[in-house]
Amino acid sequence: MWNKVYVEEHLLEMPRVKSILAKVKQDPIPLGSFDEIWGQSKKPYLHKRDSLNLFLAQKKGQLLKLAPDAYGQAGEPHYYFIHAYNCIYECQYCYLQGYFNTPDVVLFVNHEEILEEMQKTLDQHPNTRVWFHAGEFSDSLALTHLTGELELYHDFCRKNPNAVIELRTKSVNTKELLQLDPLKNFIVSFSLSPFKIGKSIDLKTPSTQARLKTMNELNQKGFTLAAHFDPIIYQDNFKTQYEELLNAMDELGLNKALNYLSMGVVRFTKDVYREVERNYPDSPLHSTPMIKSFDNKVRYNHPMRMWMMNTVKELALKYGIQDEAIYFCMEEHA
Amino acid sequence: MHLITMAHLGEAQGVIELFNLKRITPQVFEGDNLTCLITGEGPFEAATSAAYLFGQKNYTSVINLGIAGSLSAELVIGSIHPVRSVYLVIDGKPQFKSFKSLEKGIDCVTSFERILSPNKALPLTGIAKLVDREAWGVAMAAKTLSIPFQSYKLISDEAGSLGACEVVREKAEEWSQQLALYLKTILVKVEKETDTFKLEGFHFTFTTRHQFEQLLKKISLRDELLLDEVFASLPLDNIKNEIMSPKERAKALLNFMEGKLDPLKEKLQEGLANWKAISEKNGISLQTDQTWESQEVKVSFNVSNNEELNQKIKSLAELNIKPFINLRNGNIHVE
Repeated sequence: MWNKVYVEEHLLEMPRVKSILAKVKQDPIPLGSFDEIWGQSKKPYLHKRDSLNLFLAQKKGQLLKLAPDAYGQAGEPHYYFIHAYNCIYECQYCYLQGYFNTPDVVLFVNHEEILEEMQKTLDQHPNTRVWFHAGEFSDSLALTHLTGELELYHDFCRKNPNAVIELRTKSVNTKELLQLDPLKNFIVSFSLSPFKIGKSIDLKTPSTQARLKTMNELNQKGFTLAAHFDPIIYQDNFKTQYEELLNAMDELGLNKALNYLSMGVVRFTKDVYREVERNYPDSPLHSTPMIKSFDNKVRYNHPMRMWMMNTVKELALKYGIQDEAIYFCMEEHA
Repeated sequence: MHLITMAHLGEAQGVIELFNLKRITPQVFEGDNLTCLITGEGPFEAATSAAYLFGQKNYTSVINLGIAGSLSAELVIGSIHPVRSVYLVIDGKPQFKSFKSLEKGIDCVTSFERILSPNKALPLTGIAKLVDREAWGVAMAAKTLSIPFQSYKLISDEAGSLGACEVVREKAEEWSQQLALYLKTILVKVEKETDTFKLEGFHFTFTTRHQFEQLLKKISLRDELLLDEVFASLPLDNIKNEIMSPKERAKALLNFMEGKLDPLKEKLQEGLANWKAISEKNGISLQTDQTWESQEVKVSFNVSNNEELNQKIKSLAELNIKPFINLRNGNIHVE
């Protein structure tokens, strides 16, 4: 899977690093700091298909970041923590293709320091529910069989009922997760695309069917679940496609179980849009006109995105998702 | 005219002979359709010598050809590979700029120094599978002048291994001929011409032509049709029969194509026109953001006396912005 594995020299003796190296079964290339190599050259995004490198490193600087407005449900503080850079999946709309200069994956191994920072932040908000999101720069479950950090974050939630951790994922890699007890404040949220479009744009990810099957399994075991319909992409029959998805979710009893459902219509920064055009010139993403919007992002025009979100919201309500559980993500009317 | 760049005369001997190139200077050899430049070793030497030659003649493409060390045990010595991307490393540090050579192939890192030990080679293995001494410099010069650049490398040795220089010297003649024959096959490949669609009776500027081509592509993607099929489906004759200028026809065509792609466009335009019409009847003009991003409405009117002003104030009091806000919020019935 990995072309080469680089490890920061000072981490070579760390048990967590040794455990990862034993699982990837590759000799590491030692280096002082991961960014001596990582991101130093402009590496085309699609090179990840055949020359994806792995870096094991210590996260320095800001370990926790305040999430932008409309990132999660309104009214409570939201932060995201960075456990990794880049992702093994290849979603055509992914903003990572224009965010870093390289698709190479970095796994940060100093989870204890990240958790310390989370504790400090939580203590600054007494009697308030504080959200910590994982998966901003990487899928939060896809590599947990290698990294094995879930238990630490789970333990943090057990000790801190006011903290909520959200693991954002498209993965069905729940081996590690299923070894933990379900907690109300330890939420696994799945990004879902309708079956047909998912197949053509969510490349190298588990299918929507597989994700639903995993959600069902977690639901049966009592895990707290959420879902993201983000990005919603226009196709002539998008309404039918979302109806099929919501119907399938309903048949599994997932709609009533969802803690929340976020929705967002596809959007890009200018740089990411350019990369998407270059990397996926034949993608269905390019078949509907977009404009430069209020925040300089490239999106469908305002009436179109409102119409699409309202259409999907109406469907979600029809299929049993509670109104208060639905929120619009990264939109001015969120 | 193609420019072939090679680092050493020894490597270039086969090319010079096979293409009957004449010696112009000790570094430049010329034939009917190609020039061969001996760049010397090192990325900056290669960049400067190539850039100098670009000032002398108009080259349609630059092909960098030569030997490279392998950073992967999988590559067979003596095999030739197209290069995908070219990187640069100076004193072991990767440099930011990288260049694309071909869509598919193997990545190559140009090193500022010779890689003479496995320790020097190891950190490069995550960057590329090939290491050479000049490709990046040639690419830099070519890309700066927007001249298409390609690179092909023959594997001469395993980078950092002992005795590599002796092997290269022994095999020089054989490899030089191999490279020349390979170049011949590259040059035979005919570049596919891009289709252009004729639009007589329409006037397109550079920008609107680009817009037209983009829309054509978008419709072809959405409807899963070939570009020719989409083009054939356009109502060109209908638009041509309308009494309007060629520029207006182009605008009408673009409008039609946009409407095909945007399911709301027609309904939005219709709704907006109906809403504006009520005020316009009373001499009040309403202007809204064409992209629909802003909710602001610019209201304007002209008056020439108090009576007219009072009339306009009365009309303004009846003006209702809500229909516009509803449209902007996508409250439209679309099947």
